[in-house]
Amino acid sequence: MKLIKAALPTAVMLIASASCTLDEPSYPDGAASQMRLSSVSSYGVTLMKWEYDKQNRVTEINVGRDMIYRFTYTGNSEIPSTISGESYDYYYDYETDKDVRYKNGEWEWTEIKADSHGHITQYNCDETDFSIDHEPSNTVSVVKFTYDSNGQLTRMEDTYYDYLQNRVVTDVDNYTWSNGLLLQRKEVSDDSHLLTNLCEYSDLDNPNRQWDPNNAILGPMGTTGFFGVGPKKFPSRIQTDNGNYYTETIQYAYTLLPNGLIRMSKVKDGDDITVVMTYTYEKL
Amino acid sequence: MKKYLIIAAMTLLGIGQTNAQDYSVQSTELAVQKEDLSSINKRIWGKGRFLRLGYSKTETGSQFDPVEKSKYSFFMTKGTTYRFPKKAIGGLVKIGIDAVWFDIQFSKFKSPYSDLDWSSDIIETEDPDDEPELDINIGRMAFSAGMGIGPNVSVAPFALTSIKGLQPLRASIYFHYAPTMQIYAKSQGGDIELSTAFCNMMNFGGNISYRAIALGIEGRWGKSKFKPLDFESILGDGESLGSQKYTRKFANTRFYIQFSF
Repeated sequence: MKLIKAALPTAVMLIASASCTLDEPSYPDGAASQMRLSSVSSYGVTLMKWEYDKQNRVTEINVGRDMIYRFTYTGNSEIPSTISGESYDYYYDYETDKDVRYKNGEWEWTEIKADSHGHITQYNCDETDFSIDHEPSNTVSVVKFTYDSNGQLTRMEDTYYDYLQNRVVTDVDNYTWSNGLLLQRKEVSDDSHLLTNLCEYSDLDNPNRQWDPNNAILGPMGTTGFFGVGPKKFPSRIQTDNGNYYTETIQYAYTLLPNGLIRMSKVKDGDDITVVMTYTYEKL
Repeated sequence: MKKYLIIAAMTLLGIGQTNAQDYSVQSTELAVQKEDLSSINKRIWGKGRFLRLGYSKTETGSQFDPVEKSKYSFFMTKGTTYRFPKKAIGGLVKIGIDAVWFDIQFSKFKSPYSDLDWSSDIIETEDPDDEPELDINIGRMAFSAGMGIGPNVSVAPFALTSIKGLQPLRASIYFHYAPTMQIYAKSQGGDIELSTAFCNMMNFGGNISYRAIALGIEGRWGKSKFKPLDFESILGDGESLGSQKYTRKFANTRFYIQFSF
């Protein structure tokens, strides 16, 4: 009897100590303002990466191996003096039976001006297209941005000389906001319609007005904060219509950290491929 | 004188005969005792060889992603316990070394994302004009193969009782260091990962055995740095900045039946 009395608690202790579970990962805590986005990865594979200098200024954004943005600053300025970048594509080489990576474009933004909120209002863009079927072609343009009193981007104007049309052309993106939600972006070129994005939203609040780098409207540049604040809620769908019988709908779903920053996102593109992405932040 | 000498010789011889008889009796007793010890050892302490078949509640997770819990997980372990001393301490306790020759486990996991609180539902659409694509949807799984070594303490609390039926009842606890090769694979909703790593796993557990059969429970845990195979680069899509090493942890609560034939 004594043995049984001793054995029972021993058995219970053994079962308790042999029971193994994992804690959910501890996410960085603290205020969102004390954290900066470091990478977006999918199952251990880094898809986007951000780099910063000692003053917490973004210096580089890598989007896969296909696109890179570089930011340079003068002195202690929070606004970059130059933003340059390159994009890459692939062609299939039948002789070597391999995909070959090549640079298909590069650009440099200079004369960057910003408003008192640190939102970029203007820059000069020098862009070269190295697309493989064409001779390298260079375009110089002046790009202007307008924001409303809430710091929401309302208009982008891109003026350049079109050598094919032999005249100055202005492309305009108009951004329509309502109650802190970006509902539509409409791109027109000298009154001819080019592209429309229509946004639908979930009920999930975006307390930090964070731009998702996968958002089809601004892409990863939205994360820099140089182009205004993000919408008040997280989008559920963004539809793109080029006015020429082409539409694509991208679906989004988010789950957040306790401080309201994006913890993970699910993005389903027009090819019906869903990718789950994890966002990594660094503490300042 | 001669008579005394003969008597003395007879006596010595007699004594010698007695000694020889005693020695013979003693060695017979020793042999019987040895046989008893051997049969007692066999009956109570078993042969030392064991084969475990079991079910595991397995969890795995990285430093960022939510914990994945197993749908099901099975394992098989084969090993030997080398016990000493030959005579149990106090007749009840033996300590030993477990040598696990192999430990293999297969686990299938549930998606950890289905339980998360997502802001919206992703609507799956099927275009009837789409040609069927080869979409290998194997889910999430892990396979491990390893060895192990560690101490074992066994108690046979009824070994000294006269109830023969209870004598072989034995309880053991053990701790194993188990160097293990882990493979983690996933292909779900178009997302794929294949990564391998060498893990330093630890096992702590115990069992209650009766003769050749035992029931046991053990905890098994460990972690390692996994480097996913970079499918994006291999397939030449160029989307990836290279695969990143990440820490993946494993935790198992294993229930098993053990055979010691």
